[in-house]
Amino acid sequence: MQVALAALLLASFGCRKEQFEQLSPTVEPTESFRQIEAPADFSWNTARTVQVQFTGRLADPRRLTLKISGEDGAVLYRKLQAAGEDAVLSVEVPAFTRQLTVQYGSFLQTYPATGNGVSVKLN
Amino acid sequence: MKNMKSAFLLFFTLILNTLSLSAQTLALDCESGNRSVEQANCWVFGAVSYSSTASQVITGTWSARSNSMSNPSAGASWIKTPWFKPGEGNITFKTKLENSGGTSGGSNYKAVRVRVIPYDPNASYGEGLVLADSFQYTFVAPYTSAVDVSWAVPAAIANSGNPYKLIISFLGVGGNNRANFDNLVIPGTYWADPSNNCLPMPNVQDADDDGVSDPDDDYPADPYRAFNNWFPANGLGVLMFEDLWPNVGDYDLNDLVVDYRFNTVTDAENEVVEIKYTFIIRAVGASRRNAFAFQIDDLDPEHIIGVSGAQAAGAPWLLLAANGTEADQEHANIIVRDDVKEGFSLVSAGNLVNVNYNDPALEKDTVWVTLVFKNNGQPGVAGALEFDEISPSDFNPYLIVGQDRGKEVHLANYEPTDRMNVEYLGEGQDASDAAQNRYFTTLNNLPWALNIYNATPNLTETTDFTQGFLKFSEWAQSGGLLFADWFLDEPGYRNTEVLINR
Repeated sequence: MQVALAALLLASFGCRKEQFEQLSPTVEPTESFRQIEAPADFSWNTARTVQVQFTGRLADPRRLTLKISGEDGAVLYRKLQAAGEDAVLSVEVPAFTRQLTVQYGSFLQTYPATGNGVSVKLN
Repeated sequence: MKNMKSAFLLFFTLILNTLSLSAQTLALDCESGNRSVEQANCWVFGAVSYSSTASQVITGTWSARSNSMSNPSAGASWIKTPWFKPGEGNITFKTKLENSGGTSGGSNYKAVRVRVIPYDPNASYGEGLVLADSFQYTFVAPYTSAVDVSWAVPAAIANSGNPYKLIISFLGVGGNNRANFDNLVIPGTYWADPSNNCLPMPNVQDADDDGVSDPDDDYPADPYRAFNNWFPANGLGVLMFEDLWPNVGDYDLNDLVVDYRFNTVTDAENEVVEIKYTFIIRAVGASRRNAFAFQIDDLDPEHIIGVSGAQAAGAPWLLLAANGTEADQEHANIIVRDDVKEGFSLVSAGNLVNVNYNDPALEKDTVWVTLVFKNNGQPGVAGALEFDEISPSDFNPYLIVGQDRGKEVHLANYEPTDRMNVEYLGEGQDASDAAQNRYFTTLNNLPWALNIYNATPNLTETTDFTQGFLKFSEWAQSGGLLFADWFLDEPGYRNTEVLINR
């Protein structure tokens, strides 16, 4: 019984390791550019576009500067935005960006930007 | 004469209407049907509800309804506005009673009282002591017919620049009656901050009165400009090209190396005023006399009023439109340099520039190009360009090979321009397939150009790119999952012996 349990545990570790390997591909560096085998859909972009969905607050009459900054504080996007209106913004960021900070008046919030979309709703 | 008078009156009325439409106001019409909407924007209701009962509605579908007005206290049933900065003019509203109860006999009365609350940062909720200036409307017959009530904004607070609230109280003595209330309009500017406990927004200056406060305005004295939008956000990016396309070369990607940064200047309307480009042609590891240009994908060139700063003149293939963009192009194209070697002194056709440590360093060639989209607030013939209609990903730079205008080298999967000789596509190692929107890659998806979000150094002549940037191949082979920051100067990322940036 104990042997069977141990075998079961070992097998589950193996499965988890395989899943981890699938999530984190390992590749060997090449000795030349020509040897690179890039996926067919790889775009070679060092920047990417993040869609920021700004949901306005009904009947809020304010019109303030909407500012989006990267992790290093660099301003990526600015516009004058009506608080009562929705907006969809496309922000170009370095490909390795993990979070964006959105500021609107006194509203300040940081969002993960690991996917392709950020949803902002004013408090 | 009669016609002239009519025309004048019509014109005068139109002007008045325009002025009233353009003046800022704070308003409450209850049409949300839900006090929570107004409360979220800092209105406060004390024993006042919204009603859609036909007999209780003054205009529209909903009106406000007070509690029973049998208490002479102004604190029994009331509406409190958000903080606002009063303008000048009249505070107006419509009101009526639901019946005539408590309106006659002895001391009975029903009234609406309006009082002013100044901002006091030391007081609870910032509400200072009510000012002496106040107004009271006492209902008269016919009580159940709506009346228009008007009260001039007190001179002491009009245009003072300070924030105030109004408290509108429903009070009375005797009987059991309620008021209906609607269409409150207050001259002034909303000045509350729902994200900060409904306190007043901070006082800010707006010297050019464009609606963008000076601390946020990159052009505080220019009403036609507001924001700088830089790309890259910090520092320079760099473009690197191979010019042997459609054949592969030595993959040192230094046949043309251009640092760049551009600034999209927008106004308070969020429209593009100008785009200012800085191109620093840093290195030319090619014997050919190539040109450098860029297209803004999907941009009608008619949006551009003018182009300045481009250093392109004399090439026999150069054909410019009146606004300085390249002619015969559906999308906007700018020829930055029709011969990139002309920007360097003492360079002959076969000489390479800044790719070998053994060669003398030559001063880099900086070209500043400005595209103008609005002049003093006025756009070009194609109309204004909204900031959200254009993106840094629309920047489509390319090399023109050896003075052959039809031979362009673009970034992977960026479309060639209308002046491209498409017969070249698919030749040599090029595996372009327009039907698949694939351009300027080999069968193995290798590019002939890179756009790097950082002004990295370039490779020395004939040195393979992967020898200088040690994580580059892993980044590419992992589809971008690994070492997305391969171009940064992190430990183990570079072999500096084969990298150069003079």
